[in-house]
Amino acid sequence: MATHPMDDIPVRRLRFKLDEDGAEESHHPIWSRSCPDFSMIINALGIHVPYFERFLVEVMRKYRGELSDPKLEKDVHALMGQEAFHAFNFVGWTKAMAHYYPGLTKLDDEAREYFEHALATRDKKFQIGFTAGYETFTFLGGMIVLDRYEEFMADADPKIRALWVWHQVEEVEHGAVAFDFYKAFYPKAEWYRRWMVVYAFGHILGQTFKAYAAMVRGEGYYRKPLRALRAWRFFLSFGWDLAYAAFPVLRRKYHPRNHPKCNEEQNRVAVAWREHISRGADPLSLTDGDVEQMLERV
Amino acid sequence: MRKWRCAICNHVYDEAEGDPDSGIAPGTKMEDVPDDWCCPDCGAEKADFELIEE
Repeated sequence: MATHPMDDIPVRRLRFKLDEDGAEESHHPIWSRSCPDFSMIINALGIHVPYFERFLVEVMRKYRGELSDPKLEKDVHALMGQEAFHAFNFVGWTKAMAHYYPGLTKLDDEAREYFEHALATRDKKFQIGFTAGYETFTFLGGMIVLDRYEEFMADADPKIRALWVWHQVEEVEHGAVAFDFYKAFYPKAEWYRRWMVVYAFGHILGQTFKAYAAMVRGEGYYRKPLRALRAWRFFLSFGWDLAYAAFPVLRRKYHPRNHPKCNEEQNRVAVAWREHISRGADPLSLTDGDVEQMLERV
Repeated sequence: MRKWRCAICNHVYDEAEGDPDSGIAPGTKMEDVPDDWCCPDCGAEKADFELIEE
């Protein structure tokens, strides 16, 4: 029997080194030829998510000593490891992308300052609640992206594809931990949890909108109005998919382990990738041949 | 006694405190910490720690 993807969360200490000299020449931000607009929206998400991930690590570090459930303590430790490595790698990818889109540096600074300010000034309930709310969408986003792998990444830069597959697989693996962390502190504060889900969605959408706009402009799509229109239609469609997937999250009895997107059938790409990595394959690159081979095995 | 910061997760290794949970006694200098020691928070390697300049 297959284990649930949220059991026994591993920390994979990967380093993609995308902030090294020359990386920006080797990897174009429009890294998916299958779906260039997907490249932009996922890149846009990747501007602010690393600073949220650092915020999450600090929030967990600050309050984990108050936990009493050893299983949750173990999961929190793994979550911190996964998120710390995500943030480290994605900040590097933003640096590489800033060579193409100079406006990103300002957005990167704003994202960092927002989360540093939230860590310094917001109360414990907000910090833990916002973490749980935000993690709702990194988890759901991970599921959506993996479910639509063929459409989004079938033809893509092997390194950036590997970066995102790794990220999305791990977001699903630890998708319940921030929720459980919140429940450990505020088991009865359901309305506040729901409010934080809505609040986090608004924040993610707003930040992603700004970064996506910079990328649409940077790609010169406004010189071709139909192309710009298509790009924005994709943005709205992806945003709607994310919001729609979040409806079950608002139920009183919700738990991420039971989200229909997670428990009905394990995602084939995620299963294949884990198997691929466990065989000792290079996790830093996913060529078309690698993907074909790994999918054949499951 | 110096302090070192993990470049991956910002955990601080304080030589004065060591890392007793990992068997590193208080007062252990970073150069005396075994090379296979990992960041207790994120699992990064010892080499990922950077000296915090006072």
